[in-house]
Amino acid sequence: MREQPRGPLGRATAVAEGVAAAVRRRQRERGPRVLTYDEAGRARLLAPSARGYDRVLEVAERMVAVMDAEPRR
Amino acid sequence: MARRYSDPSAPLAAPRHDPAVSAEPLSPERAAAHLRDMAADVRTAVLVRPDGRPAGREEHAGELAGLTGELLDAVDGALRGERTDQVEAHTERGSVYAVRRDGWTLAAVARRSALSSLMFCDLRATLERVER
Repeated sequence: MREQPRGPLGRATAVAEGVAAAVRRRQRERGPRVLTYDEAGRARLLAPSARGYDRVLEVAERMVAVMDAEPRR
Repeated sequence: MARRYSDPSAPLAAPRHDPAVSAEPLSPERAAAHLRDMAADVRTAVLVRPDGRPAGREEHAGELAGLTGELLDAVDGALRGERTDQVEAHTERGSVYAVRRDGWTLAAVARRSALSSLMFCDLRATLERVER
């Protein structure tokens, strides 16, 4: 169980750590990533080191670029 | 009215027409447009026939159909023989979703802010309705 921060300084530190963790999580979610799903719907994150990972992202970028050439709807 | 998953300020009282609920068959030519109508986060979509040709005649359909095939080939290669019929790839500028069934693939280029679960729900619902 997580220890409750004590005193104003402890609480401020806990808040700052929470915000920093949220920012890191958000940055991770915004970064390039590839997910696949099996028949049961279970997600699998393709590791950046996996063979073909760069190729998948490169093709996806080309697909997005097709629309980037168009005015946004 | 198309859903804008990424817009929390969208009026809740707006009349909801949910084409995903309809069980009417959908012609392959209409599938991509239907998906775009249903989900406003979708910037473009393409239905790819088992022979690799696009089902619709929309702009870029041929190019996107070819790229969808390349994407799934790359995913299959990365998974080393494991089968997947559902994939999402997020880039800095947008996201790509693809679902395939019985050789047919429905792929969409969407805004980065689209919610994956809802995107797949709409993709699967649309693909299931396509007349084959």
